[in-house]
Parts: sequence; structure tokens; C-alpha cells
Amino acid sequence: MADFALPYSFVIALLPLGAFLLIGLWVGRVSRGLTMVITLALPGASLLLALALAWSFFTTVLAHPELYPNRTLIAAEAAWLNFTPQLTGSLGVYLDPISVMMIVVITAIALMVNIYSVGYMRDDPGFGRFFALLNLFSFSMLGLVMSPNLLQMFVFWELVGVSSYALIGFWYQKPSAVAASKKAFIVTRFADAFFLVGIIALAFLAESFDFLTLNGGETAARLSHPVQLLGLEFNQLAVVGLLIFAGGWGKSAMFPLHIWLPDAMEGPTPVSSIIHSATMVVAGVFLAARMLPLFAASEVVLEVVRAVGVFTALFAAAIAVVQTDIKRILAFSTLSQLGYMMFSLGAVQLSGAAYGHEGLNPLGYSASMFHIFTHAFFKCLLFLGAGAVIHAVHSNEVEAMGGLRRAMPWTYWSLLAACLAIAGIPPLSGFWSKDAILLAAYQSGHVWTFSIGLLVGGLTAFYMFRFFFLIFHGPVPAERGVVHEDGWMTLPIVALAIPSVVAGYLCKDFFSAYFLIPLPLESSHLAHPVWLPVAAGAMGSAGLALAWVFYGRGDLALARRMLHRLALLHQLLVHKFYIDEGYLFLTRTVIFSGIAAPIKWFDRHIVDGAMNGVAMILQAGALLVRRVQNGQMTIYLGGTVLGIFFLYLFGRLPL
Amino acid sequence: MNLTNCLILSFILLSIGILGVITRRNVIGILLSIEIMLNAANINFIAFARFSAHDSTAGAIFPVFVMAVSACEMAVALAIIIAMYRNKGHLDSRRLGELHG
Amino acid sequence: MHDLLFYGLAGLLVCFSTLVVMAPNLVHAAIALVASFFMTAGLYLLFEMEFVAVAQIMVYVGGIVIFVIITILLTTRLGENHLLPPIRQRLWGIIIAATLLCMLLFGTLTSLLPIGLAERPLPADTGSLATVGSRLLQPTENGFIVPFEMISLLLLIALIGAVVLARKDSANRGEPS
Repeated sequence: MADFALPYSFVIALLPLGAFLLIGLWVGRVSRGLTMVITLALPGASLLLALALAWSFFTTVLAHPELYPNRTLIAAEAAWLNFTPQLTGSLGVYLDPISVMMIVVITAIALMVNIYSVGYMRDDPGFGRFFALLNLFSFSMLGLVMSPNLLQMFVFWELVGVSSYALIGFWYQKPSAVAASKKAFIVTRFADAFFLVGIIALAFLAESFDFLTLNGGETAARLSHPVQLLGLEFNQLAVVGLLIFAGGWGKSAMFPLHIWLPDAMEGPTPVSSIIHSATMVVAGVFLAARMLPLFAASEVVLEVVRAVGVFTALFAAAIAVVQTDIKRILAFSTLSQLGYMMFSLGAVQLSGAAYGHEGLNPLGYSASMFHIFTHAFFKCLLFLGAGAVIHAVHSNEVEAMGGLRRAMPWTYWSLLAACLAIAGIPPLSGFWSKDAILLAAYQSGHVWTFSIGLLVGGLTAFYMFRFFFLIFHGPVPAERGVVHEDGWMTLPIVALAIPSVVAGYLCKDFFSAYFLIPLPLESSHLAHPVWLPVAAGAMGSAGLALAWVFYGRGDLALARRMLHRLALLHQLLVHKFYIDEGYLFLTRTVIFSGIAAPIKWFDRHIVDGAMNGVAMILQAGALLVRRVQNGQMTIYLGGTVLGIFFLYLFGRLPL
Repeated sequence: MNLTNCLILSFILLSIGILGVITRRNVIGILLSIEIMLNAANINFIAFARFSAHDSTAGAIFPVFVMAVSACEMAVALAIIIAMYRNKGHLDSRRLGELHG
Repeated sequence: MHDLLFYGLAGLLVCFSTLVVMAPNLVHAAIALVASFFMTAGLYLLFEMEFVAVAQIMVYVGGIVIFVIITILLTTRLGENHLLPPIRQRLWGIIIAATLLCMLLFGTLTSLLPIGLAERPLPADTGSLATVGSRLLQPTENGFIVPFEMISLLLLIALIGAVVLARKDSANRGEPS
């Protein structure tokens, strides 16, 4: 009876879909109360089923490694598109430790966000539409993590993109929200184009979409031929791997495609919360993790994954230090944490080891998944708390905050837990996962990656507690109305604080034991230095202390003086290294004026001109021919006779 | 008197009919010209029946059908002409071009 | 003798036909048409096709042309000037007709001459009423009973159509201008 949930795992995804259809097509316009019931009941059932599934999975599949050598189970599969006898796209449910973990996380976060949104969106005219889209969003993400093949994954990948587009632009009356949703959609679409090309190329070369086949050793061997590209020689595997990774690159908002994520804050805060914790941005990391056994066969791909990840971690953390919009601080913090997850995946590759499946460090993979797990809870909590604060003071800017500790005690203590967790203070959850990531980087011998990771840990603690102190401590601004906590909103905040505190300690052995790369791999015995967790914890504490010195004492004079001294750097950071301006310059000046305008001219004058010319000639000809159709017998009969005459002449031609 | 002479005769009549159809302005005149052309065709039938055909009787029967068809055509055409005259008050083909493009 | 008759009849036929086409007065044209039909009937008699000759006179002269003359009289007002074609139209007509004639004559004279067969003796009753009539009504495969019946149907339809078209419709009649 232990495995009863396995065959019905697809129902987990169908429940939010049902909620989407019910609310979107009918209930949302009829009744707010019924919408509320549906949006709590169906995702709630989904969460219960997901927990049952996790129980079933870990008691059957993981308990019997001899039956399931790759810890993988295809719980349901239906053929969908038969391209060729070898190449079949199917729909199904693919269960392995990471997808089960993701299913649990997504359903849990989705339920929390749904509960929270009941309070947050109470007075919004788009109440029904919001919950319909939110459920569509979690359905898409569930379908994505369940995908047994790249084709299904791409379908749900795009579904995630389109539902996030609709949610970021939820307040479509605001031009900035519309612009942000378009930006998110276009930037991720840009990356998805590469992803699609990668899928097609991989399907062509490997003749399969299925992860089981692609991640087996044969595919990597099959793709080892070198190819010429732009005069350089590449491995087929590297090219395909980079193309596929590009999809995750855009979705996970890695530098330089990170520009959409801060702007996505224009959506309602619950949407930001679910985007940043369980859906959307995690999809990129999930994709990289899913394809990691294939990527791992190519040194180039892993190098790129690691480099992109570590750079984004540092880059985003630096920007987060000076932001004044609390949602933007959290957005850049997400970018930084995603960078952690990415470089952890890249750190699977042992530095200097012989390339191939032999020199792999499984810790990088499990640490990345562990961080997804813990990060989901505390980041969701941070956003929900920030949303509660914004809801209370009606502003995003830190100037309007301050001294909220008394007014919002539940939120205060929960956010404190979340900030401690993300800052990596032991023994909260973030410490364990971040420690595992740093350990993986250290073990694999990537000294630079490790050092930057450690530094970013300190930065994280600093900017998170800057965020925390600015909101809750310090003087209360003069003009503020009565602030109170909302029951619907406080409940999930408090509920999420619990896993934020304990999830790391409880699950750390579990992750390192079961979340292994699905490859026949003997785990190598690597150094496990005792000083590393101490150093990581110390970095976090140092960051916290620095934040206290600058922002926690209720006196911002020191911080202002420091900012004044570092004005140049401050400006650079406030403007996010001028990346957006750079893109704007690139698109406006280079692409629009330099390329698009001549093409437009060509189109208007040459292409359209040719078309108009043809039309004009035809019209003139028609006017000429029309004269003939004048109803005069003379012309008709004369034409007939002349026609006969010419036919006769043709007949006489010596052909 | 042989087939060629008869054919030449019928060609001349056909050309005269064409000339009439083109130059006549009165619609009835055009009809008369068409009759001449049909007559030319009948002469052709009879000539071939007389000089060349294997089954001369069949050649003699065809003009009967032509006559019948032309009688039908005349009946309908004259009815149209009368209706047209009643509506327009004239039969000038140059002013009747209502169906032109 | 036969040749002389043929040329005479043919010459008259061409003359009368030209008159039909050219006569300014339509009544004159109709009378010339009667004359040309008579000439044609004469030609048919010359070719020993009695039945066709008789049918020609009865159907055309006795039926159609009378009908035409009545229509002409119905639609022509006294003192109205005749609709004479402009010179340009007449010129075009002559050019087109001449082109057609030249083409036909040239084609015939160059390619059809071999079958320009001379007169040959026909069986006595080839075109007689009895022979033609029995062939027309013969239901065997040499007979023409089916086309004959269809022609009768066509005539009926034309008759009804003509009546419907020419009837004075009191409800739908447009204003006579």
C-alpha cells in the first residue's frame, strides 16, 4: 500500500489545472467566496497528494536501489507525437528525487501563496483572474518538473513563461507593469529560442527526447564528434549542451539575461514570491540539474555553468547592497542565490581532473538541490513578509519603513528567521545548504569559485540585514497611519518560518545520501575540512554585524558617510552597473537605428514599392482591358474573328 | 457546280452576316444578320450532303434542326426585343450596353 | 444548265444578303431576307433536297420573317431616322469581314481543294419528304427520334419563354421612356 500515490502522481498537476479552469472560466466571475474555497481546496489537496507521493517514492524507490538503479521511476507515460519510429514525444510523469522534491516544494509554496493572496488581493477587482492565473502557474511548473522528456518540458516551460507574463502584467493598467511583463517574456523567449534549437539538435543527434536515454552514457559517447563552428572546433556535446543551458540561463535570469527579474517586481507581491521561490527562476536550475549527467560529459558546459553562476552571485549581491526598493533587494538576492545553485552544479566538475564521468563530485549536485529546497521556503517567506509590509505602509521604499517591529510582531519574528536563514547563520536552513555548496566548490578545487562564494555569503548577510533593520528598526516615519497584520497573510508567513528554521538540519543527510547524479558513479572520498562551516558561519555573522553597525542602531549617519565616500561605486551599483542602459543603447541605437531602420526603409520603399508597382501596373492594365468590355458587338466579334485569324496563323506555322 | 463553289458561297454569306452584326445598330438588324449566317451554315450542310457525305439523308435532316433552333432563338430574341423596346423606347445597340464590365 | 442556275441563284443570294445587311430601312432588309431565303430554297431544290427546301420556305418565310416584320413594325415609329452606323464602325466591319473571308477562302482553296468533288448522282428519293420523315422518326440507331423530340421540347420552352418575356406585366412594368 505504500506506493498507492505513484500511479496517480499526475493528479497533483491536474488539481491546479482544474482550479484554473473552474475559476478562470466560471467561478471567478461569479463568486469570491467560492473562488476562495476552490483556490484553497484544490492546491491543498494537491499538497497532501504530493506529500503522499513523496512518502511512497522514498519508501519504494529509494528503499529498493536494486530495483531502481537510477532512483528513477516513470509513473505514467502516454505516447503523444510520433515523429519517427525511433523518435517519440510522450507525456508522462518522471519521478526521481529532484522531481519529487520539486513537486513537494511547488505544491507547498503554491498553497502558502494562495492562502496569503486571499488576504493580499482581497480588494482587487481582478480577484478571480488572479487566482486562475496563479493556479495555471503552479500547474505549468508541476508539469515542467514532472517531464520525462525535453519536449514536454519545453511545452510546460513556455506555459510557465506565458503564465508569468500574465501575472507580472497583472495590473495591466500600469504601463510599468506592462513593460515589465513584456520584458520578462521577451528576454526569456530570447533564451528559449536557443533552448528550442538545442532540443531539436539534440533530438536529431541522439534520436530521443527522453531524459533516461539522453542521460545515459551512450548519448554522451554518441555526441563526442567535433564540429566546426565559426572557424573554431567544438564538441557536438558542448554546442548542444550550451544551447540547452541557454534556456535555463534566461529562465533563471543569469547574467547578462538577468534584467527581467528585478522588473518583474511590478507584479503583485505573491506573484514575485512564487516566481522567486518555487517556480520560473528555479526552472532554469532544474533544467541544468536534469541535464547534468549529459552536461557533465563536456568540460566546456560545466565551466560555463560555473562561471555564469559565480559571476551572477557576486554581481547581484553587490547590487543588492544599495537598492532602496525592498522588493528589488529581494530580487537581486534571488539572483545571487540562483548563482549559488548554478555554480554548485558546475562545481560537480573536479578541477584539473581528467574530464569525463570519472572525475565528478556528486556533492555539487545534491548541494544545489538542497539549496533550491531551503531557498524556496525562506525566499517565499521573505517576499510574503515584504508584501505584508508593503500592504501595511503602501510603499516599496525603505524610507517609508522603519520601526515596524512593534506593529507587526509576527512578521518581524518570521522575517528574522528568514533573514538568519538566508544569511547562513547556523543552525538555520540556509547555513546547511550554503555550507554544502561551498564545500562542493572547495572539494572540487575551484579556489576562485569557493572564495567568491564565501565573500558573497558575507555580502548576503549584510544586505539582508540592511533590509531587515531598515524595515523593522530605526525611527518611525512621521506620516504613517495605523498598521496592523492581516490574518490570511500572517498565517503562511508564520507557517513558512518553521521549515526555514529546521529544514536544513533535518534534511541535510537525506540530500547527501539520495540526491546523487543518476550515473553509475563511485562516490570519491574527498576532503571535508572542519574549518569550512566555521568560516562560512563567521562570514555570515560578520555581514550581520556590519549591517548592525551601519543600519541597526537607529542612526544612519555612519552609513551615509560611507556612501558619500564611495559615491562613485554607489552610483554604479544603484544603476545596476548600467546594464539596462547598455541594453537600451544596444537595442535603440545599434539594432533599431543601425539595423532595423535601413531594413524598414528597404521594406517600405523597395519591397512595398515593388508590390505597389505590380499592383499599379495590373490596375492600369485592367483599366485598359476594361475598355474592351464595353458591350459593343463590334469589338466582341472583331476580337473573335481576330482570334480565329491568329489561331489559323498559328496552325499554318511550320512547327 | 461543285463542293468548293458551294463552300465559297457559304463563306461569302458568313462574312456578310458578320459585317451585318458589326455594322447594324438596330437590334433587329443584328438578328437578321444572324439569320444570314445560319443560312450560310445550312448551305454548308446541304452542300456536304450533296457532294461528299456517305449518308446524304442525315445531311438533309441537320438543317431542319438548325431551323428549329433558329426559330426558338428568334422567338425568344424578339420577345426580349419587344420587352426592351417597351422599357427603353429604342433599340440602339450602342446605347444598350448595360451588361458591360 | 445546272451550273448556270447555281451561279445565278448564288449571285442573287449574295446580292439579297448584302441588301439585308446594308439596307437602311429594316422593312426593306426583311423583305430582302425573304428573297434570299427563296434563293436558298432554290439552291436546295437544285441539290435535290426537296424537304429542306420546303421547310426553309415554310419555317423561315412563313414563320420567322413574318414575325420579324411584325416586330419591326411594332418597334419603329414613323418619321424616325434610321439608326445608321458611323463610318468608322462600318469600316471596321468591312475589315473584319474581309479578313475572315480571306482567311476562309485561302484555307479552303489551299487545303480543301482535293475534296472539291464534282456532282454525283444521288438516289432518287434522298431528300424527299418520305425519306427524311421516316429517318426523323426512326427509333433505331440511324434514326433521329431523340433529337427530334428534344427539339420539340426546346420549341415549347422557347414558346413559353417568349410569351412570358413579351407579356405586358402590369405589376412589374417599367415606365416607357
